[in-house]
Order: sequence, then C-alpha cells, then structure tokens
Amino acid sequence: MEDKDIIALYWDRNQQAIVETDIKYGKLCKKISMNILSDVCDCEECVNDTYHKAWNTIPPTRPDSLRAYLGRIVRNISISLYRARHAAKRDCGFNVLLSELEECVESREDVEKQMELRFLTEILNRWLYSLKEEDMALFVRRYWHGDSVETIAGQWNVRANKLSVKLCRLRKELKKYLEKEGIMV
Amino acid sequence: MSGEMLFEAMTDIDDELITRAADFKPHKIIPIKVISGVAAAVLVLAAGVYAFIPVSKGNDTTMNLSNYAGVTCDTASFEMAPEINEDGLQEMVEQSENKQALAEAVYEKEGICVHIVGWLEDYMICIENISEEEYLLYLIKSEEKVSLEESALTKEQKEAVLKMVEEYRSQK
Repeated sequence: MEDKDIIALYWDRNQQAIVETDIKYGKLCKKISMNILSDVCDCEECVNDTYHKAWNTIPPTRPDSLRAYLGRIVRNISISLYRARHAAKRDCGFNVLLSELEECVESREDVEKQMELRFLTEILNRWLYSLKEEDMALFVRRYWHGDSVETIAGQWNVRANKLSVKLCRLRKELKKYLEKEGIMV
Repeated sequence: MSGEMLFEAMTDIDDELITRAADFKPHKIIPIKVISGVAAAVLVLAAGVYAFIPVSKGNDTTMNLSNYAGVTCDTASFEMAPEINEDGLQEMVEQSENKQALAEAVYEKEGICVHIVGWLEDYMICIENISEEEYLLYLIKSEEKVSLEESALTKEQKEAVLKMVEEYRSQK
C-alpha cells in the first residue's frame, strides 16, 4: 500500500493503519530497534510503542515520508530504552531514582541539549548533502539504519573491508567538518 | 560532545537523505570474460552506450593508467602499473581480476562506471553503465570520444543531456 493511503487510514482513525504499517515498515522498525538494543523482547516493545505513537500523532501530523517518520520514532524510543536499561545496570539505586524524577521536570540542560542536538543535526545535514551519493548512503545506512557493514557489503556486492575503510575515512572527514563548524570533538 | 550525542543527532537528519540512502543501488561492475578486439567492438556496439578511453602509447600509457592507482585499488599487480610496459599493461587489462580492479579505480577517479572489455589498438574498450549526470560529466570531459547520437539513451535522455551541456557551457 502507498504511504499516502496508509496515512489516510490513520486520519480516518481506521485501525487497519497499524496492520498496513506493520506489513510495510514492521521489518524496518524491528531492524532499527534491534540494531540499537540487540534484544528481541525490547525490540518488540519498542516497535509496538512506535505504532502507538504513530497512532497518537497522525493526525495532526501528516508525514512526508512515513519511512523516515516511523524510523525516527523507533530510533528515539530504542535509544531511550537503551539508556534506561544501562542506567539500571550501572546503578540500581541513585541513577534509576534520578532518571525517574527527571521525567517530571524539563531542566535547563534538556533545553540546551535539544538546541545543541538541532544545531548538530543541521551540520550533519549539510555534511551529508556534500558527500558523493555512495558515501552518503553508506554513512546513513550505517549510522541511521544501524546496518552492519557486512549487511551493506552483501547488498551492494562489495567487500566489507572496502566499506570499513571508507567509513573510517568518512568519520575522519566528519570530525574535521565538525571542528570547522566550531563543534568541540 | 559524545558519540552518543552524535548518534542521537543523526535521528533527525532530512527525510530525503534517509530515503535516498535506503534506495541507493551502487553501480555494478561485472567482470567480463576476455574476448578479442573485434568481438569486443561488436559487443560494445551491441551494448549501445559506449566510450573509448584513449590511452596513448609508451610511457604515457603507464602514467595515464597509474593515475588510477592508489585510489581504492588494492590489487598488488595494479599498484605495479607505473613499472610495467604497454604489453604488460595490455596483459593486465586482459586478466579479469585486474580489469575489475581497474574498473573500480576508474569509477573512483572519474565517477564513471565502466565494464572494461579489452583492448583495441590504442584504446581500452569499456562499456559504460552510467547515469545522465555521469554521462554529462564524461561528455564534457571528452566529448570528441563519445557519440551521443549512437548511445543507447532514449530521445528524452539525449535531450536532457544536451540541455544540461548547453546550461553548463553558458555558465562557463
């Protein structure tokens, strides 16, 4: 089903929207989440939360790209869960208490962090647009989709080693670019 | 700034980049069996889109191709290109594995995807599998060697390329 038809189902509050989303993007969402969490149960939880969030935000949102929209949601949810799991592992007491209480307030640090993240995203966009198509695709596949080098190499029919070398070069280039843009790395 | 923050910032990159990355299909460079010059010419003509990459004789030959060395090519024999003579070079080109390496290097250096078929007189024969943009690039670089009329591009593609060439020249 086309994205616009799935989005129309959301706007009609038709629950078939979730079914169609799962058919078309379930695999992608699971893959992104799994690449961050490496845990089947956590991954399923994140994907379900993603559908739930999509249901609650469309409408009013009408995403231009459903793939990117869902990918972002599942990525954010997976990162949050990853942090929660690791905080719990690091310190069962204080960190968990703090992280629970932090949900109640929006600290100044959070606002600053959000602004910093937005600034960083803008720089990343500029840098990615300046790359050759293949390099951009490689970087985004690796660090947005979270695909392994071996997976990309298999699909592109190239040696994994070649892609690893290329990624290493791209990371160095990004470091230089960030420094040029005044980001402390 | 931490790597975690950078990873998080990646989340909100433009939709267009995400879509383009997911849809990206690299050029496929397929090794082609060694064939004679005449057969290569027939194959090239049959394929439609073609280009002859001129390579002059003697030292220039090795120098020219050695420009492609060290880009991404990690084949030991290819790295030896500056030392080998024209016959050696021809032999190298006719070896499937090295043709692959050479094609990869040409793609990295020139942005042109080529299937190196073989050798005909002073020309290394390639079949190109190129996008309009790459075709344009190549056309501008060596327009005398490429025939747009005889290419396998559709009428619309040819018109688009000609339009782009005109625009490029008017800006120059």
